[in-house]
Amino acid sequence: MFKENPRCEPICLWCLKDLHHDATLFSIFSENSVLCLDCQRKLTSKTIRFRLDGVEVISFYEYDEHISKLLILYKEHLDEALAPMFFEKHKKQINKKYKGYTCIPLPSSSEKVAQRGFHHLHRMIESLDLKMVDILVKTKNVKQAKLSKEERKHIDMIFEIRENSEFTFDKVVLIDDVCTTGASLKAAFALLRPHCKVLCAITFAYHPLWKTEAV
Amino acid sequence: MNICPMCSNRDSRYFFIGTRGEYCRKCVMFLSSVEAESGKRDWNCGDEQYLLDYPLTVHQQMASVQIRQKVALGDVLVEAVCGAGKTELVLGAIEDALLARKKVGWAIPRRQVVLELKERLSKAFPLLAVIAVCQGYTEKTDGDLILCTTHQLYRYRDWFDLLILDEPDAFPYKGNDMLASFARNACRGRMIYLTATPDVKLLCEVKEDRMTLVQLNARPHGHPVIVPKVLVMPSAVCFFYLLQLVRDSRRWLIFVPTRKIARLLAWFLQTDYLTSESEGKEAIIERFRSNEKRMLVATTILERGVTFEGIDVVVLFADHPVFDVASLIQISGRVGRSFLFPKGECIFLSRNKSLAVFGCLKKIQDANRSVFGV
Repeated sequence: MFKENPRCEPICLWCLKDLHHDATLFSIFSENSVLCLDCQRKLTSKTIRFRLDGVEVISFYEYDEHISKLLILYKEHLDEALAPMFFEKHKKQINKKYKGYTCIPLPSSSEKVAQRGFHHLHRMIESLDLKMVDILVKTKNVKQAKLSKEERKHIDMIFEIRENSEFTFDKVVLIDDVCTTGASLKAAFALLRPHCKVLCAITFAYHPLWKTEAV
Repeated sequence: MNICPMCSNRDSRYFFIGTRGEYCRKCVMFLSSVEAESGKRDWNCGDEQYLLDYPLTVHQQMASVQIRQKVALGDVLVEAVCGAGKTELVLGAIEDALLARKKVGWAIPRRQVVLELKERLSKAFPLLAVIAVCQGYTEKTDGDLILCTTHQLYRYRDWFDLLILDEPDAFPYKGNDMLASFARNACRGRMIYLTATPDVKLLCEVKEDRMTLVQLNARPHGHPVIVPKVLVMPSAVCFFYLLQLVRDSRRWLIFVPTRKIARLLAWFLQTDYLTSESEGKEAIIERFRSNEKRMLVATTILERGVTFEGIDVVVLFADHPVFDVASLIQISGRVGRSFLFPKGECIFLSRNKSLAVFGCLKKIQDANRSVFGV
């Protein structure tokens, strides 16, 4: 959290310039209170829905260089303060649509979490009004970015449901940051399907390939 | 009051208290990738003299000796006109430092210039491992003589006994507190600033005796610095005058204020253009240098640190706010740098009479007067 400092102009979470340095008449009335207009333009939201193994997935941003830079800053350089901005624009939409759902973030390996000091998805979800349950664990530390598409298919071996957690949920929404091939989402669907009635997923960004599958 | 040890940021809006404790968001992107450590104090190499293809002139030798003496006492500001051979002037000081088993670094704001200078210094010190560290070249970060962009200085903490800061008045170093702090943190010994256009802050430090000033206003070939010719006319006329001007067989380097104009003009002239977003910058420059392309359109990215032989320069819309006095002086300094082609033409096409244009003219004329008395 930031220290209280009411006298200062607020700054943009991403570019760190003054929040209103490029304000226009319209942007003054817009609801985004964390990003300046420049940064909002960089993130052009093209929300798509597509089906993955029969499960509806909603994704908000196309993965491009800006998103890539943003995620690197957040996940590699550990700029935790960025967490609230990811779902800022769609916060209301998500809260309304998934009211009463339980949200389950996709897991990171425990080494990675320890190294980062925080779980990147947990921090992103904190800004939403959803009940979060962390029941998935990743047993191996595999970096997917380095794997080919073929190799990613076998990713299902490395997720598990946390031991001694007896549960059934009514409605579950899975949350992930980027959907590239969809392999890890599929693996999580397979694990969770027996335990819940309604299953769907949200990802922050998607690979441009998914646009062709959008409905 | 909180101060970030890395970038000296004091603004509380940039501090964030996360699960790992408080951190500064201004320099967070420099932190996790490399853990900065102190430079080794004992190391072996550097018993060699520098080699140059040509001898220094009397003026240069005087300045070089002056720098060698003054740097033992404190920081030095070297103010020399464009093309005076600033690089050669400090080779002596580098040699002294290397002989004394000291760590020497050379930081430059522009990536392009780092790569260029690496070639020259490798030639001057053929036995040393001269390492260039900049975007795209970051696997190896330690060598006998380190050349880096000012952004890469975050890798070195208390590392250099002699840090040469080339062109501290260039973007992005100019006015950037974070980079200034990186430089301060990287240097545990002396600093040498090299520039043709020192800013008020540096001159202030000279005035307050925290730094010594070494001046060199003559170019090695003994010809004065070319004074630009200013033509004031409406913008459309500027454009067509330029198109007409570059039709002869001379080699032209054309400076424009924005990327958009660069793209447009390059299309008109059917030639290459170079902006900060161009891909394959090295290849574009190489094509111009080897005379494969007769003209090159560039934004201020090429304003300093590069040497082309026998070119003429024209600046389109010299009154545009991106051209300040310093950058105009640097641009006109691209002309007549070599012994073979000590003359050349520099033309400013301007829509208005701007202060920057005339400030530039005055400064060049003053420098010439101090040497030639005309």
